[in-house]
Amino acid sequence: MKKNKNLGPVVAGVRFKNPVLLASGTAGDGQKLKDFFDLNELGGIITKTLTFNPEEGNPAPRIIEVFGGLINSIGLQNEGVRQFVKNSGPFLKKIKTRIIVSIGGKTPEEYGQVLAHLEKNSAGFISAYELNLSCPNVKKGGLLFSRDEKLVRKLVAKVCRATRKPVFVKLSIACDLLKISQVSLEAGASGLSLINSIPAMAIDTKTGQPILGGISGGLSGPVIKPVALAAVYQAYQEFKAPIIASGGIFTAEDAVEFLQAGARLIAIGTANYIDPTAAIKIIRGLENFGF
Amino acid sequence: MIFNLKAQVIKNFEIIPGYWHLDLAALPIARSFFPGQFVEVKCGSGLTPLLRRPFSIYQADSKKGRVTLIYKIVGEGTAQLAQVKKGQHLEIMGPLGQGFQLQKKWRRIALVAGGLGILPLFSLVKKARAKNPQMNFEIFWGAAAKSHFFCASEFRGIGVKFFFYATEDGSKGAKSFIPQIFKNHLAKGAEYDQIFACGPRQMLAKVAGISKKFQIPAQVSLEERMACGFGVCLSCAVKTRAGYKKVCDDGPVFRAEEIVW
Repeated sequence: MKKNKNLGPVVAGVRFKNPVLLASGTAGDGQKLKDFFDLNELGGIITKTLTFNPEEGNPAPRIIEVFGGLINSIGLQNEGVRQFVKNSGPFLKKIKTRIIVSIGGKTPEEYGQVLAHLEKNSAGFISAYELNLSCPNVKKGGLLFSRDEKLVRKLVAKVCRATRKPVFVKLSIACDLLKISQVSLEAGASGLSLINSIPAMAIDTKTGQPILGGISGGLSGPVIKPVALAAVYQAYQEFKAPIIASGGIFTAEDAVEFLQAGARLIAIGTANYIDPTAAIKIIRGLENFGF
Repeated sequence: MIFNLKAQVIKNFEIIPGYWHLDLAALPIARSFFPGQFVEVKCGSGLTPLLRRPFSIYQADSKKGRVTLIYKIVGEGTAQLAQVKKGQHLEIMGPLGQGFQLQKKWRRIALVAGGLGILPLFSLVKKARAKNPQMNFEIFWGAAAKSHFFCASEFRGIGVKFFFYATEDGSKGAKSFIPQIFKNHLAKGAEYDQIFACGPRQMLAKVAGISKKFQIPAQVSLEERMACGFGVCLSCAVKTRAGYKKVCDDGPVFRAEEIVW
């Protein structure tokens, strides 16, 4: 049976032309990829995580390559949601792919503020939200919040009440993943985004000091694929909820593994750095697999 | 416009032990690059090493469509690069970043280079002198040893007459670090319209101090660990007076006074 090219997956009520998204933090707002391919071919773009106020990010060095991957400690550098809407809004309104905006904050209230500003000012270019409860590179919020079940329940419920759009909660394996997934879904999340980069670090043996300016960071790339796959598989088996899967996806075959594990959408991150056309190659490759 | 293409290797040979010359057929990049820009090259065919490696563009021939890189073997990526043979292809992305800014009215320009920091300065001088033969460049060049000044003759070939050398081992020029030599020269009354500098960060910080002291504007070319190379991942952050900027996209060339050293 030939796949109708115009029909991609419907996930949490949103039609995507194909299951391939660009992962948060790896494509900015998409503009800088224009030279490499037609952004309209993508299933969607998940933006860099936005906080209410601008965040500077961590001191350099912010990355270190390791075997099979890289560790990043960017630290959620972003211009803040108000500047984002001004700077990126006009561009995002024009492109014909789904935009999922990632929201973060130092406090639960801040997540709410970011969402409220977007709901009021984004003029409809946002299809869904990704709630970042898993960034390993910030001292407040992110991963730390996901270790507090009560906080997660309250935060997710508040965010979901404030929008009609689907909310995916992005989680890390460094929290009680199944428990926090359950709490998120019970609190109103439409789905899960699994997994964020894995807490990791490297030490310079000449100095005995951590190499990264942020001390530790998040591991991403091919080396984490088996870990991400297990997380997606377990979460799907447990909850049968919509899942955006990410973690070391480099080829169409990698993507298929995650779709077969139960994910509805997949996100490409580190692969973009090695080949900025990776997402397009995966989209074409998936067509051969019938996705 | 950034091009991402497969470039055929025309030449890849060792200049002096550990230092290599690579010529690639990359017409779109050769035609559109500005001095100070760089390329990201995928070294090796597998996933090790994973990330592309950034290299300054030494020079480009827009008629022949050739891009020349000079690189030192410092790790896995460059070691694999040295294995690549004529006729093979390399994935290369570029031209990347902001290049050097040149003004026609300038007459005397100082170049301060540390080791392979000399590389992006070559095409700056070549293009500048081709359009503005009245521009004079003087090079202040520091390196580990005499053998590292292997491209000095190429600079002489494009009309550079004055070279001040410094080596760590004293084998050529002063047994010193180049910023001190440059500073001494300025203290004797030398005047320049602009300084261009490239090399280790410590060296550049000293040049920035000299630029401020002698009131001569300086442009510096920085390096930082990179992942994407084209401005999306925010890995290559450098602290400036206006917050963190990206070396790959806002740089690699910055005004020295912008940087928080």
